[in-house]
Order: sequence, then C-alpha cells, then structure tokens
Amino acid sequence: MNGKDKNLYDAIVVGTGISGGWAAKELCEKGLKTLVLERGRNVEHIKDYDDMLPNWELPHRGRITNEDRTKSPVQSGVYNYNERSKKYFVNDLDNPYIQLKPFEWARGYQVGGRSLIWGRQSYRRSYLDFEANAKDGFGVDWPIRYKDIAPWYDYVEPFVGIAGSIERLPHLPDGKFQPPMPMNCVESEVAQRIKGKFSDGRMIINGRTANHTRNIGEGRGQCQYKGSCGAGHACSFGAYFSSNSATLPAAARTGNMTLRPYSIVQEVYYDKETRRATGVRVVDTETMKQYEFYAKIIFLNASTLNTAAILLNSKSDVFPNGLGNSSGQIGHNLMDMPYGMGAQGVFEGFKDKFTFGNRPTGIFVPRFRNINKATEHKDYLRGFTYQGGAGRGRKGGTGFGRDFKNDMSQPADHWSMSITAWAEHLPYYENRMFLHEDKKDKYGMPVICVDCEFKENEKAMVDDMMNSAAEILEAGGLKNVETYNWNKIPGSCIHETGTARMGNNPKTSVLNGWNQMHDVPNIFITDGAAMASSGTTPGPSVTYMALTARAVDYAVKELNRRNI
Amino acid sequence: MERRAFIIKGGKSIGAIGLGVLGIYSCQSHEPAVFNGEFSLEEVNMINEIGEIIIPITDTPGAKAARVGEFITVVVRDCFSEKEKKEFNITLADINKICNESFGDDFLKCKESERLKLVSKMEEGHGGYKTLKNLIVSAYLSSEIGMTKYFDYHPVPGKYDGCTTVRPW
Repeated sequence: MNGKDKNLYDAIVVGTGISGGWAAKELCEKGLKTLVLERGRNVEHIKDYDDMLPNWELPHRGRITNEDRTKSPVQSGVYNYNERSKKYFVNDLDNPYIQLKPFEWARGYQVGGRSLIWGRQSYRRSYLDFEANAKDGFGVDWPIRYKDIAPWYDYVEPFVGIAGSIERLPHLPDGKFQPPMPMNCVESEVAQRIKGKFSDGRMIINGRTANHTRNIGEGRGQCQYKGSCGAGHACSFGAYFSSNSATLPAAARTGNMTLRPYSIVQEVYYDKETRRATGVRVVDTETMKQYEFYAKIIFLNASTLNTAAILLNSKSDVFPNGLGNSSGQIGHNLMDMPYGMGAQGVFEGFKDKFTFGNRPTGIFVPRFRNINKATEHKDYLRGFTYQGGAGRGRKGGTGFGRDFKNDMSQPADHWSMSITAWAEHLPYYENRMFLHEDKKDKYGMPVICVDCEFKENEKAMVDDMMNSAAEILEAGGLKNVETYNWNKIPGSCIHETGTARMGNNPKTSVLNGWNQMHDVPNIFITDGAAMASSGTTPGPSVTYMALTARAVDYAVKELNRRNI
Repeated sequence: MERRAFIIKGGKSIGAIGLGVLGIYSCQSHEPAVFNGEFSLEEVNMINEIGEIIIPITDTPGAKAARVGEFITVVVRDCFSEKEKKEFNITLADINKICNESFGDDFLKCKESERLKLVSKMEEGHGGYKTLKNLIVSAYLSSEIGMTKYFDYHPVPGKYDGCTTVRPW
C-alpha cells in the first residue's frame, strides 16, 4: 500500500463547526468513510466542559485579564469572551489577519468550532430572502427558492432541537419545533398590548433557539436554565445544539468517521485530467509536518473566510487565481449583519413579580419592512428584525454598613425591557477578503486581509431601527423609552458570509444550486461562504445545516451515479 | 442571535451602587514613585477592613469573611491598566494619609470609630474610594459567601418561571 492508498477516504470534511459537523454526520450515515479535519484541539462533549465549576473558583471570577487582551486583542472584545469561555477562542497573535477596515473576526479553533459558543437563535429564511437579489439586483439571484430548502429545514430541525412557537407567517416560516421557552409576564403583557396597533403588522413572538425543551437523545438533555450557554461555557446537560453534543457523536457512532484534530488544511489538490479535486494538504500543528489526504468528494466547512482562503491558496495552471475561481468571485461579496440599534424602557407594573432561572433566549419581532407594497420603505431595501427581552434587576444601595448591605439585594423599582435590531447587509463585490502576497502565519499560510464595510443601504436603516423599536416599546406601555446604537463594526455580528456564493451563472458565482463548485464538481461548500445574501432574519446557522444535509444527499447520489 | 437580547440596559445594575457624589483625589502629590502591581499583606488587610465597614457581618458573613482584599488585589494586578493600577494604589496611600492627618495613625491602627468616620468622609466625595467601593461590592457578591450565603444560590435552576412572586436571589 503506498502513501496515497493509506490516506484515501471516500470523503473529506474540512472543519467541525456547525456545517462541518452536519457534513460529517450525513456523509458517515450514508456509509462513506469520511476523514474529518479540524485545525484545533479536540473538545469532547461533557468530559471537557467546565460549566459546572462555580464562578468563585475562577482566579478572576470571569474577568478578562491584561494577558488575555494582549494575546487576543480581537477575541477579548467578543460579547461572550470571558475567563471561562476564552479557551474556545483563538489566540489572535498566533492567528493574525489584517483589517483594511475595522472587522471583528471571532474565531474558535477547536473540534466543534464556534458551535460551542454560538448564539443559538435559529430562524428559517423565507421566500423573501431567496427572491431579494433577483428583485432589487444586488448580488446574484439565488439558484434556489424557499421550496427547495424547506424539506431540508424539516429534516434537520428535529435533530437540532429548536424551541419555538408556531406563528403561520409567510415571511418567517415555522419549523419542526420543540415547545417554546415562555415569555415572562412583562414580555407577554407588552406583546398583548401591541397587538393590532401597527398597520405594518409588528408583533412580538417567542425567540426560536437551539436550546432543548425536551430530551433529544444520549447526552442531549433538556435545558436547566443555568445560563452557561449564553456566556460561552458549553453545557454539561447537552441542552443546546453543538457539533460536539449532536452531529459528531452521530457521525462517530457509524464507525465511518476518522476525526483528525490539529490539522490545518492549506491547499486542495486539483487534477486537470479528470477535472476533479483529488485531496488536501494538511499541516499538523503539533509536529509541523505536512500530510496529504485523498478522497472522492471534499466538503469545505472551514468557515466563510477560511474556506475562501484555502481555495485562494490552491493555485494551479488551470486555476492561477485560486481553485474554482474562474468567476473571480472567491473572497468577494463578504457580508455580516449590522446590529445593535434599539430602544429600552421601564415597565411600571408587576412589582411583586420576578423571573426564576436563566432563560437562554428572549422575544423576537419578525421583519415588517419591505414585505409587500404596503410595507415598502422609501429609504432602503430589505429589512431587519428585533431580539430582546424584559427583566428585573436589583436596585443597589447608597451609603455603607448594615442598611447598605440590605439594600444591595432589593429589587429594582421597575422591570426593564429592550429590543435590539439585526439587519440585512447587501452583497457588494468590493467588500472582500484576499490573501496577503508575502505575509504568512506561523503555519505557513498566507495571512487573510479583510476589506469590508457597511454602506448606504445599511446606514439608511439605522434611524428606523432605533425609532421603530421605541415605537414598539411605547405602544407596549413602557415608560422612559430611550433609543441606542452600539455602533458595532462589521464582523461583530459573527454572521460573516458570501465569499464563495451560490448562483446560476458560473461566470458570476462559485457554487451552483447544490452548493457544488461550478468549476470543480467534487467540491462542496456549505458554510457561510455559500450565501448569496445575508438574509434579513438572523440565526443563519440552521440554513447552513439544511443546505449541508441537502448537498450531501445530492453529492452521494451523484457519486453513486458516477457523475462525480 | 440573541447575544444581547437579555442584557437589559436599565436593569443590568446587578449589585449596582448609586453613589451620588463623584469626588476627585484629595491628594495628587502623594503618588508612590513605583508600583509593581504587587500588594502587601497590610494593603490586603486594609481592603478587607474597609470592606467590612461597607459590608459588615450581619445575619450573613461580611466582606472580611469573603476575603475581598485577596480577590481585589489579584484583579487589580492582572486586569487593570497601568493607569488604573496607579490610581488604585494612590487611593490606598491616600486613605492612610487621611487617617494620619485626622487620627495620627495608619488606617489599620485606627480605632473602629475612626475608621467609620473615615469611610463617612469618603462617602461624601472621593473618586478613588468610589472605585474601591465598587470593587468591594463586586468582590463580595461574586465570592462564594456572596453567591451562596448572601444570595440564594441556584446553580441549576432546572426551570424557567417568568412570573413568580418569590424573589429568586
């Protein structure tokens, strides 16, 4: 057996995050011997978690240290980076990238990737999202429509385990949900009060989250409301979806998966005779040795920027500008989602009421702009949604001594409530990533440069996102309503997408309607890179999951038909 | 994603303290020449004793039992900027200076009544004290005593009740 035979698999999956985990599960369950490559260390479900460690036992009780800020200047600014979760974020010094414009790139290089630390909100895209590019001309038309992906949402959601409510809204399709996590008394009251008050149909529904309200299988229990997932601490109850809790164990159970941590894929090999990818070149980060692995099909799920980087770094006579890049689109059309504009207020009532438990979700306001003629907005295209919630904090005290100590535990006079917008980011060719010509990281991979910004359409939404939020809260009876804008930079929503977009035309897109490369039919890309638009409604991961399962189904059928 | 969804701006003041008066340092000339980030046992004890005045033992243990001084000095050393460290160190020195001027001795050698007078005075306006007090409150509430004795501790609530009459902490 020569080296090539020894390293030969049916399929290779690059990356173990949300989409890589699904590719691994589906390929293995269909009987393919699958090599799953992960650049970081292994993280085993439950065994490797420390979420049950009391906070006071941490040396800094969760605080970020100066050393953390030095080693990870970008990661330490991510919303759920803290003393306990920091092990799931990269060291920025070891993993440099260049920001031509400010771009916060959150990264988790370990088995499970960012699925360990994700936000878990899970919303289907609607017909509006798949038709938007064709209608207004930004980006290229999606090669699929809602009806193409709907059965695959149906397929993945029960395994994901999403708590959500049935609403029968065409612009926010229902899914195969577990029971929703309830609203608290103020949220319910505000939701009730705004009913029918807005001609554009503004409404408040339960957030849809990949936290389980029902047991879902081995190592996947129901939510205990301890609040660890929101802080990036993983969950020993397995009560939220991650690759570690769900897809990778399923893949392992088949006996078909070979999981190889510490393996950075730097290049995909291409054979111009067969016009197929043949395998990948890997750097083992423990030994710094290079290895080659071969397979019939390759799924790239390394995350939006890294998937594109691998392709751009895979140069050959046929593809001097990067593998599968005859369109010149790889790395371009980078999107995130603008977010952080909203309003807050206080609710005078329910003074004798509190909440118990840390609910890992909140309330949601579906989009209400540019759904139809009647809801068209004159200043901008597409739209936004809100996430939020109500709660009751403590008042604190003044002075010192016995009375002060007592006052510290007194509840705040009023409940507070806030809602915050997440908006669509249009695809622009000039928003892009590319590889630096000279600079390389310590593993020899060219450093990624990011040049991405929000433009006119995104800016045109800002005031409306703040003011509409205030209108909702005021209609709901909140007092002292104030608007805010967190002024988040691109990347900080952690919804980066678009660098290898789907489309019908090989001249203007990288992937076809099956997430298959136009140029190289045995490469499939099903992470955020594949998106032709950011979508108006956030929670993109469940869309990656559905597209991945759909792409694997197609790939294996094509393989069996000997088309690839 | 819900990441910010349940951070309620107006209601996130967990352990918030509403100090009305913002003071400034009473003495800028008192600055120690060098501060290496390490604290003496006296300084740790001093923070514990000031803590005990602010959060005394009642039916639950106070700040001294929660060893706020040990934790605060670690946080200042590891988490504070150079500027913040220096300011914090000035505050401790300044407290001793005030004690010496008013009572003729360092804080730790002052009588209980004198310490109370000192804290009362700083409550009226002292910028460095405000930071120290915030640290003491946060150190106490995040300690094992704060989380389990002062508050009711529910590490695994097991359920969510969005409308309960029982105060959950």
